[in-house]
Amino acid sequence: MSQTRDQIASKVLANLENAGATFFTSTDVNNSIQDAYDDITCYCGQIEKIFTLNLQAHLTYYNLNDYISDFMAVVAIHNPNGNLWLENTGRPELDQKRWDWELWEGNPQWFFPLDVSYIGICPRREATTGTLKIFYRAKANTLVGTDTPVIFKDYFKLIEYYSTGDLLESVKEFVKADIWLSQYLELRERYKIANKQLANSDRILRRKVNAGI
Amino acid sequence: MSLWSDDTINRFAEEAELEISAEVPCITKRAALTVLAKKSLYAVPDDCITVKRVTWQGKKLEPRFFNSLLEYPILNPAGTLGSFYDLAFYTVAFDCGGSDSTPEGTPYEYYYNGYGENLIKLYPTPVSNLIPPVSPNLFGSDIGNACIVEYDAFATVSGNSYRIPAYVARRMIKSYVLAKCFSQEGPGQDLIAAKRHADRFTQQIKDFKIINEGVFVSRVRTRTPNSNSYPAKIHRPILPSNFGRIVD
Repeated sequence: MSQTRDQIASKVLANLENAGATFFTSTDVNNSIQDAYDDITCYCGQIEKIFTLNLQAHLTYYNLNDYISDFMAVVAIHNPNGNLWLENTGRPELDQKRWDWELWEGNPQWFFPLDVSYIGICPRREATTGTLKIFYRAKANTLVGTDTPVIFKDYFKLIEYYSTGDLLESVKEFVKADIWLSQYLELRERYKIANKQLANSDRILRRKVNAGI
Repeated sequence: MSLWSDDTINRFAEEAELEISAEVPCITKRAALTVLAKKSLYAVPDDCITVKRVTWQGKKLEPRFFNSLLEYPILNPAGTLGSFYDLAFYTVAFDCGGSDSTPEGTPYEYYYNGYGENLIKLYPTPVSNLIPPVSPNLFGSDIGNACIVEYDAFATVSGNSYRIPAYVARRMIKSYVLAKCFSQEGPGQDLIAAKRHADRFTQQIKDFKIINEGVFVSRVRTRTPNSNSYPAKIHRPILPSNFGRIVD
């Protein structure tokens, strides 16, 4: 079942027999819970959101961190002009299409991630008109006491495992920490797979026409 | 009293960012070269790890290996074709003496290795100057006005730009700093704890590589209808790799 950060913190403190004591401060526990949430979110990518990007004239590469504060990775891009899903491609393929594709202007048809911040759009716009719908994986927000982390209900114990292990490790109880952290790593893999399977539920597998080029 | 000074901890924290960016190439930068006529060798920025792409007024320059220059008939200063047995030919062709080689023209290739650390050679040697605009937009409007080097860069350890992504930075820097601090000579030394945190840092690097690769995998194909998946391409023949060469 869903839990708030404070509810998770009380479970972690109970695991450490710290309830009512002050060996681990609330700051220690809350930082550890935030680390756990960050780690789970960036590894498993369970949070997906949509952002409307205003296209800029003559701009080939967009730094999405400038536009989206919680941007982590692109999932898909839709171009309402022509009702077109942009095709995820790579620069070698675009080089095959046109030598100077970075200067190519028109209605965007392809995109590719350049690094953790930038995506390239091709063709770029010749004027500041039009939008793109960016479907993206978001990073974890900073939790406050009454916030509920965005995690499948079955997997809330991931945060508890990580924080308990992390706090034990911080006081050099490495053997005890390993018990919790190994459970965490195992469950995190299962959660990642569960996420992928959820995304694949309506997937149509199709051979890529130009595979091998 | 703290076991380690703030200076020590800050030094290791900065070192951690550089180490992470070197291990996992996640930061891309672009720089414009100030190109001068008859000069073919140019320094790329100090924070360059690997050159990813070089463009000349928006057109991609092909990366080449140093020894592939042997395949080209290169004119020596006298204007005659060089001999493969002529020492002067090699001096001219490979810029061994620091001079600039013929031929001259609009570059269509670049060489990254063989000319010294962080130097690239444009080929053919540019025939005219190409000075980038002041404060250029190298990701947009000035792509067509400059010779741009795009590269994987080391993290910038101050400011808000070109940092390790925030969603992994805190945990990884913490592990690296702890590993270094515990291994330092002094009252805080604990080699078992140092190894523990070093192992954790190694695991986090592996995780970050997986996360970074995930950045490049979208699910768009699952949502793309057949009708617009593969739009018509501009016709361009793709020649076999051995085209133009004699093969047995």
